[in-house]
Amino acid sequence: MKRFADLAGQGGLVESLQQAIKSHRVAHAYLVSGEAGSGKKTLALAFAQALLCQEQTATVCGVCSNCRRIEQGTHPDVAVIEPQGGRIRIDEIRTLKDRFALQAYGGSWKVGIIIDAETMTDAAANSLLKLLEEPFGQAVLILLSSSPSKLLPTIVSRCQVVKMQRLSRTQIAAYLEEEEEIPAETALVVAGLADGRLGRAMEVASPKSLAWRERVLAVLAHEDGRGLEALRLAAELDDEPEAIEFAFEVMGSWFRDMLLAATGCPQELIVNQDYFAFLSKEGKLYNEHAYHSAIYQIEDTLRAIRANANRRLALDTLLYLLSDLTSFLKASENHKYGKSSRS
Amino acid sequence: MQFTGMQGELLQCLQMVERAVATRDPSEELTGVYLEWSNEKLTVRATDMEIGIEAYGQVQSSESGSAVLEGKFFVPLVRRLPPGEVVVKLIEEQQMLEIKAGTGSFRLQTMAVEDFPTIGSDTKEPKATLPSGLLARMIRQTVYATRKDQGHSAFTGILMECSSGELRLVATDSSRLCFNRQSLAGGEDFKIIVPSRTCTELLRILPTDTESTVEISLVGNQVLFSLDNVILISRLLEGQYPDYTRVIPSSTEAEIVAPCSDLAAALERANLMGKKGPAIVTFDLEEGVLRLQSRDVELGESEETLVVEQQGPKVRSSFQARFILEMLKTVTSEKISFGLSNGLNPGIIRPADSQDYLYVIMPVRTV
Repeated sequence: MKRFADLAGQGGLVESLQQAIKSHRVAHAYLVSGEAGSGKKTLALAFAQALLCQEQTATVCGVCSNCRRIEQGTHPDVAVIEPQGGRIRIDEIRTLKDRFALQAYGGSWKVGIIIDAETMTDAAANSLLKLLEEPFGQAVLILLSSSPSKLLPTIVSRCQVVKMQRLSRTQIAAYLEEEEEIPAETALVVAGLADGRLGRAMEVASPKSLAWRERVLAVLAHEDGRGLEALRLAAELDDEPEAIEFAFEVMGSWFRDMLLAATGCPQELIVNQDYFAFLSKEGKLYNEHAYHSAIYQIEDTLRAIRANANRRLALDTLLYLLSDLTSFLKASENHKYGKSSRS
Repeated sequence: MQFTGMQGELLQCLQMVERAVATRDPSEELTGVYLEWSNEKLTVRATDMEIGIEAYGQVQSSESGSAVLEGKFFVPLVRRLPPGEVVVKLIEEQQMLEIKAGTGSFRLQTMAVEDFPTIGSDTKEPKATLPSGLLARMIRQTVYATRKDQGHSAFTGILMECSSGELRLVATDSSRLCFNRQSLAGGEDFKIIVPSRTCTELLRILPTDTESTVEISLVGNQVLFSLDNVILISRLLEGQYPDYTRVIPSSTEAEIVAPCSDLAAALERANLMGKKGPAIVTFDLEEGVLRLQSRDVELGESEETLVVEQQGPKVRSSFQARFILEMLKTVTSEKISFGLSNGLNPGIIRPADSQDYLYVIMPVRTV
């Protein structure tokens, strides 16, 4: 677990929370918003540790029993609620209320963390509202959400909203290099794919994700187009649907890079830097329309798969098309920005 | 590392702590029962971080040791062992606990021992000491009036207040209020709200004989009840208890004295007249005759008269039969005194020979 002050790239945010603890002006409810993998839970747990740490310096010592128990998820004064089967139900909120009705075990703060707060059912949200209105004693509720707009406005208005900051690519790359000992070149690529989110970067940096990236790029970065290989990849992705979203991100980044290379952008902006030589050579072979079309095609297919299209068929079509970009040259006139290729 | 004890004694210890074993715990360590033996003494402990119970027993042990076992399996096992000697041996290298009784031999996987929380504390200050049977009676005479649902959190527990030389227990769910007091020598002042679950568990472990005493003390934010062979620690409820003294009326218009069992029996019958909702009984008091009437639109009606000692004018008031019955069941005296007023003024029930146990009940509006 990271110490509170070390939460990479969240300096300003951490500072204001620490200031709140020091000046005894901790709000009774926070809403932490940020995309998946942006460090919401890490921040919330570190905040809980800072509140309860026996050192009482608004930092996290990481060694006292409170800090350790929070890290292990066994602290009696810190309740973490997660969706069960995709939803947070009223029973979960009731349990939280029961726990909050008791005086703090350690005698100081009680912290309730609600992960993916937007998945609360209406009944659960209304039940929570009551708790937000009449907090019991020294208690803090921390709601985490990647889409706060889905929360009841009455809930949002009772919380102090905290937005996770996006990290720059170099910040993430530097962190990966130093803390995770990932080679500089890979770190930069991973950071490019992570979209400003450290937690996401850690996921992308896993050997499994990196292997998928290699696998996808092996098909795309082949000079003569490989129809059969593309169909094989489609079959593999069909077998492992949880990898699809990531594979599509890689594809998207690839054609974005092609587009940038074609227009002669500097190397720093390229995501897949390890393929820079190939990109700058190959990028000039086709015109911009082909890359635009490819990107639209990828986005369309992902949308279709999310909307429950025939996965195998959609993957086959997409990858076959992508394996030979000349197919887009003819059709390119049909693709205009913002329009679906199927419309 | 082993100890030898009697099945009965081991089981007694386990049954005391059993209800404190956590049923669900993310790290699973609290679903265990902690055993520790040294110097002929066995300590058994369980806690779910809300309440914690520690019980002590006598065993023969050569070497001290400790182990944590899954409560869900260990307790039923000991319960089913034949009476007599039980030999418990810790096989450390395999992290197993071997239990031998009669011709049977059982081996159970142990859980991590290091992180099991301790309960109690050396820095406790004793706040009050009283006979355990007395505390048990006082709890029994209040706990039923606590609020069962969520909502106003302080009402889900019992107020224990010690000041000016007496201990007072109060419980209310806002339709009735129980008040119980006992003069106490040498008690220090305190005011805490104890969750009703803690009180129920306490009733299970408090011996009813008058010999033994229980010591109430505060440890940090928690309350500790200590007896000779067992201690119970519990977290307290958050919130301020409302000023109950304003709820207790100083007098009522009329008062009756009636045999507790007769009134209870009549109310039991009247209580049947409630098909969908609770049965409402109308108390009609006139010239020493108490007429009890209850009616259910779908079911029918009942009417019964009791001859009582009456003081004051004629009155008429209606109550939920169940609320009165719950109170009457906890009265040990033969006769009760029931103060009644007309309209929507509360009634007061108490044992006829005591001012220390009061039950204030709000009437029901009837058409």
